[in-house]
Amino acid sequence: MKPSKKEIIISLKEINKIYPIGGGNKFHALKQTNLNIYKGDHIGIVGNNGAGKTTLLKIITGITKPTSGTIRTKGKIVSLIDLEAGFHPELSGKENIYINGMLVGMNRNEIKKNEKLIFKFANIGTFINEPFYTYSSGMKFRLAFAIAIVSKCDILIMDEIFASGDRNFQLKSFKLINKILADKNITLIICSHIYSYVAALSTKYYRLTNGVIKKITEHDILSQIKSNDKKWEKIFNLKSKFSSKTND
Amino acid sequence: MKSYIKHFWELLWAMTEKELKIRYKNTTLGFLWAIMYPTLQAFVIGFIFQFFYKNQPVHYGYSLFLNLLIWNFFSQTLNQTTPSIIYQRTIIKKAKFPIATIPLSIILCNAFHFLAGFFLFILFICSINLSKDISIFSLAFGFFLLLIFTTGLSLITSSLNVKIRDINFLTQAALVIWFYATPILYPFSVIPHKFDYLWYINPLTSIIDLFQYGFFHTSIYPMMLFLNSIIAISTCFLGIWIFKKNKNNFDDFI
Repeated sequence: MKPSKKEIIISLKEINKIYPIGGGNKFHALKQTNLNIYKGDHIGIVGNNGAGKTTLLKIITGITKPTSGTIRTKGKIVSLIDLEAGFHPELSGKENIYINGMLVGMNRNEIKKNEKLIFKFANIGTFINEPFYTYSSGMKFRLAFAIAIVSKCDILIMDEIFASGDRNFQLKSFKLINKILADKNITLIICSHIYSYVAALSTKYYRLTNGVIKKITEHDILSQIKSNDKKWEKIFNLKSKFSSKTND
Repeated sequence: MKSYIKHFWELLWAMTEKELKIRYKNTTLGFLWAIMYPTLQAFVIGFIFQFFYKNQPVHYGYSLFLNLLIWNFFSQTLNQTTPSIIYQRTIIKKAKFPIATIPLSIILCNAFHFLAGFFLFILFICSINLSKDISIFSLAFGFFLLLIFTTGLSLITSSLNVKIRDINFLTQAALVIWFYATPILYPFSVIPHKFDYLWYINPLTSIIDLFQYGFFHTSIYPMMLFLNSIIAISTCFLGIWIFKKNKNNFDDFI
């Protein structure tokens, strides 16, 4: 596979993003970022909180403009950032679907056509006609995810979306994302500080550290996952618990 | 480009519909509030102000109701749109969409309420045979000026308020003073000529005059109408310009 033959769908050239913060100070969120993403790539970006992941995604999506540098994107972008935002608590799930579908870039007909699919995937039964404030947090998340995921797009952007939703739903959405990714024309960019999600969905990897982006290999990710697992085991002292359990 | 414009209008309509739906949700009187509010105002103000006038202007109560309808549209819209972008911060941080639909949907929603109250007023005026002939042109031009002036100001205050939060307080304070600086409780004719220039810069003067003329054929001042229209139209263009200039960086400040 020669990347030079593939079409560049997102190109960032010397992007800088500087946020003004209190007292006339500045926060340099992204530093001289150069990045080319090709059509059909599945990009995984890891980094700690505050490393600049969301800023990068926001610039690609067009939610905010870079302070300097140029960005070019081709095709329709759907962003799964802060999924549950923009739902009105007084309106029913059904009424909320239309507003939110349009916010992520769908048109009225598209939503109408996909209405049944959204209901089915969100699996919230008769609650669909109840006001949104009656929903459990899992239901809210499922409905929001269902709307975003059925909309047709060229570039799918996901930012820490697996935080809520129960295990079953996580599995279901994981399967659905994989089904969407079977279409070789869809480009995925996923950001998370949870390495296993990133590793499971992407094929190319980058690490963001204090606003600087660096390409890393799959091996880097996998060994990081392994060492993280060990770290957690140690912190929570799970080994002793496991052994005490077997003693019982 | 064409699909962008289509998306813009579809979204604007959907958001206006949302505003209309949630405004009177869980209220008993619902939409009636749109008419009851100015009616109550007109009764109270009319009752008090009768003591101030030796010769009360003709149809004082009715023209007061009409003026208050116009003023309420203007002040409520400005009060709601100014902080609207901050209130909707979560959706601005979530997706890229035409942000102008946030203040515009509020303006449209209030315009619907204004028109509803206004048509009831027309029906009432016709049923008691108060106006001999209603000048549609004058009313339409008045409504046009009202709409573009409110839109222009809303775009200015809502976009500036993102960075400078004082704008919201400034608007609230300005509206209180503005109420008395507009010929709502009094006809413009009572103002001595040497102070005319103060009303030249207030487009609401002509807007109210046009509405009053439309029903009661009171006087229209050509110079005033001309200057007021120019200010209203330039405010609209200025608003569009300021909003466009700032909208790409809203996300950085909310």
